[in-house]
Amino acid sequence: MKKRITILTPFILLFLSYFMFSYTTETLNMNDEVINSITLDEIEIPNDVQEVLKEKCYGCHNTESKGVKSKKKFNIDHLTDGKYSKGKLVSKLGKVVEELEENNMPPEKFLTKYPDKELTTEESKLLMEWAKSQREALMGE
Amino acid sequence: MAKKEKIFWYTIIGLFFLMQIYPVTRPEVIADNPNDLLKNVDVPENISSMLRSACYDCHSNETIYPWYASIAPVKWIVYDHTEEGREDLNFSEWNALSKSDRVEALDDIIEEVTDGKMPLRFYPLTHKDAKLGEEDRQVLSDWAESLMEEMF
Repeated sequence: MKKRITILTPFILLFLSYFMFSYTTETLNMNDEVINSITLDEIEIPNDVQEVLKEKCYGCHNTESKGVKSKKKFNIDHLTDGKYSKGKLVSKLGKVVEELEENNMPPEKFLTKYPDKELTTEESKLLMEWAKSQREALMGE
Repeated sequence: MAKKEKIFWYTIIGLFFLMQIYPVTRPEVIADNPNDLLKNVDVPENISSMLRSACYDCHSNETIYPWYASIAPVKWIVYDHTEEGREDLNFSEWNALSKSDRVEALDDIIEEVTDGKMPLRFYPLTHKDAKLGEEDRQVLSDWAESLMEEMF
């Protein structure tokens, strides 16, 4: 029994390291040029909000991201390329507020590797207020 | 039977009975839900039957408990899942939800149903009608998408 565990150890380590490093590839995909100044009729993203989104969120939440889950749940590219319907936009903005309120994003595991991606209190507040105001505008409230 | 073996089986049986005594509350079944999705929204027949057979046991007040759901340890799991399911999305309370909550719920339905996260994997093992094929999932998610569009 003991012997078997010894043999398995390198494989287990390899398996675990795959998950640890999968974040690296996601972050390397960050594309600096994609977000330019944006104002569509549907949604407005002020420069300061864009800056935070680009620095802290876009690395995983973009079309090219290797994180299937992260881009499926929220793809920042789709905020402006017309791929999110109005309903989707309302939903995604609501989820942004929810995740930030619960301090779920960026994920803790990711932050241990990239501590500079942590949102400051001000940045988090800025994003939440932006998301709330955009959502209300979309819902016509 | 050896004495040791006897003690072993008596302990197992004893534990089983003790498990039954352990108090847990069963999420209540409410038959009349005026705010229910199907009572307030015009849902196509094929969709409503899918919702009823694949979702409503956990995501509504109209849970149909099978007989084995009153026996521990199964009942712990069933009650727990039912309670959690209703908390996340309760179709019986649909009309009481805010517009943004409804939109988010529909978005979740699209995501979870197409990803195959819902219904939970073991659920169709005991509920044959709850098994959703690739096509069913597409139909259900298209419906959620269209309902979402209708709201704007």
